[in-house]
Amino acid sequence: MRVFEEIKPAVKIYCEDEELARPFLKKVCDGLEEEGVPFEIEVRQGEDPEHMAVSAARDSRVNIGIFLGKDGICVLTHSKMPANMPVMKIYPELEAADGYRTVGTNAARLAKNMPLKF
Amino acid sequence: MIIAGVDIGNNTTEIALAKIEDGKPRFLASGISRTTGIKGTPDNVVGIRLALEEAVKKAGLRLEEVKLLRLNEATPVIADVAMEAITETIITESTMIGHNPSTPGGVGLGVGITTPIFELPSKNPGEKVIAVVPKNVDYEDAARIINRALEKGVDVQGAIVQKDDGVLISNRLSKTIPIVDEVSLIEKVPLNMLACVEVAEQGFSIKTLSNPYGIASVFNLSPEETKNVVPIARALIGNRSAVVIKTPAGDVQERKIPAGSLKLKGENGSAVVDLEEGAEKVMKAVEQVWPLVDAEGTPSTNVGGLIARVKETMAELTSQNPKDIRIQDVLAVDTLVQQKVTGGIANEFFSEDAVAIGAMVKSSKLPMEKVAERVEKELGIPVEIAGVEANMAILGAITTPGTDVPVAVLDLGGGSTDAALMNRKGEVLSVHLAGAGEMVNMLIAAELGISDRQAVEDIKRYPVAKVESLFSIRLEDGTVRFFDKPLDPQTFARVCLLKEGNLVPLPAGLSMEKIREVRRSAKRKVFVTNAVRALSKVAPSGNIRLIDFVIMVGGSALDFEVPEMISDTLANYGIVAGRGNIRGTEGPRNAVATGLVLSGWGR
Repeated sequence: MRVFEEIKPAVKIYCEDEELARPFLKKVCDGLEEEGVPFEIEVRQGEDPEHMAVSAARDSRVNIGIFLGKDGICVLTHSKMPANMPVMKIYPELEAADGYRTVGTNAARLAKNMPLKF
Repeated sequence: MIIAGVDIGNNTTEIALAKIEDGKPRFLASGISRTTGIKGTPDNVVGIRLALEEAVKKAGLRLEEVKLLRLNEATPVIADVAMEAITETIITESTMIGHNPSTPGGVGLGVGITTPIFELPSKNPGEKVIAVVPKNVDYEDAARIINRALEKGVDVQGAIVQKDDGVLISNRLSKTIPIVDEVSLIEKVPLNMLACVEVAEQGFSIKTLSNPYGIASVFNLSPEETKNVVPIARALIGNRSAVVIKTPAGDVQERKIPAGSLKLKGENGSAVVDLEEGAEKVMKAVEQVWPLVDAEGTPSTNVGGLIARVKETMAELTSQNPKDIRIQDVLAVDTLVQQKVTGGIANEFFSEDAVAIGAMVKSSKLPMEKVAERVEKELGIPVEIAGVEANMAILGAITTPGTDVPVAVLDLGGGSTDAALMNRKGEVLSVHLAGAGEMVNMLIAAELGISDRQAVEDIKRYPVAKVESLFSIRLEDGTVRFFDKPLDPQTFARVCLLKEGNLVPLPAGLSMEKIREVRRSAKRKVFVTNAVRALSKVAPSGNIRLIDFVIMVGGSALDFEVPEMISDTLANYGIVAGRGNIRGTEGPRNAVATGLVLSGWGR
């Protein structure tokens, strides 16, 4: 009998520091929850936000990953996208809190094959 | 000697440049430019100069070397289009939110009094309420307030939410209630009124609010009142969520403008058709009284306004009195138009029946002499006004390889569809009909509810595709195309136009099938109808089957599907029809300009 790995189909979120990034993280999760797409959060440290997002995407069953840095940089990507071309990237100083919610919404819509919000 | 044929059309000015050697023309180059100003007015000079410069440059010549311009005797035909809805959805005594948020919350049917969320704590146990949540309330607070009210015994039956928070609130409630979210104009929701909120399960559509008797049972309506909610029920069919609010009568006044009837005066008597009977009846009447002398609509009806508008535009263009404008052809087409529902809250649109009318007016002879004078003065090249446009078009069109007289030419333009037939003796018969490219644009714009003119033009001209992944698109014919580079995330999962190798996203909510269907039916309703109509008017003894060859020319003959549609239909009459290829090189363009050169220097 084959043994199936227990990995849920979910959008993967790599978060550098759950405490520091909590307000941003919450917005991202709101976006995902409203669209009804499951997600998993993991604490991971890393150098390059784009690369971290790609490895999150590779780690996800639905090939969609989000990286959230402790400085608030947030990258959304798909595992098939080149690292230097994320689907979305936002910086804390430029974005209102809504930007983070949109990252979550768009991650979910990528998974659902629905037009993204910009 | 270098000469140029100049064809000033409604939309484009075209040039054929030729060198006369031993009394025979040898074509050097062609030029094309947008027509500047109304055709037949001195404003055209700018367009002529641009097109001429282009042709001269291509041929490696200088403007001064052109020794003669041959200008066509432009047909004084101006066409215009107008459209009027003949039904209107008006909601009285109730109002509704009929938009379709992608993620409403909860599921079920709730009936209660609309109450601002802040007033929930002051409600008494047992009261049935619908909570109204504006955007300044966070979803967590909203959920907490509702939960507390529920604990206290207030019967919260549903919620109307301004932000996209339906699922978030629903996930945090102790009881499942239907929640409609993304109601942008929430301030328009009447408060303290009886309302009903319905959200269907995923994959289903609402059952109660899309049924007039369903609404009647919820609100205890009398049979008379039930009649009034029919438009609401109809507008909500197919939605996953909806809100209907009962408001006191008299909020929205119903007004009915009759569609009216069209009075067609022809040389063979006259006919009156009621517009409500549809376009087909109108067209039958037009055929009955053909040739048309004038058309009028009943005053203070929809069609009256429509005809008046057409005549006014025409009068303005030709600086004549609207009373002197005579309509020489009418093309009526049944269509649907996206109209805002009067009395709706969330900017609901609904498809209403409409009739689109293209009308054609023959004005007095266009002052081509004035244009010629101006061109001579500004360009310093002698100008000759030559031949009738239809004859020139045929002369040019038969330079298409594989054609011979007798032949008919279909000129598919922007404003009018023209046909001309040349028999073996070289006699030419021609006709100009209302309705062409611009009417197709109008139909597409109305049926898809798009107001951006460029977008409409693009929808007409390019096929659609759906972006299926970040690397692939599915085309109209079902095939999939992959790209080396990832596509712009903006286009992801959207329906796009394939415009010159680029993907242009279209407004969300339009499906690929819908766009394709609307586009093709608009083209069929205008061009195929007019092709048959025009050809039977020039055919020997009115029998279209007696025509052997049809050459399609003009801007709309460049379309990627119109010529095929017409060929296909004409094949049923045993006619060989196809897109022209002027001089074997120009495609369907430049027929008249080429004819102008040829008419001067024999074939």
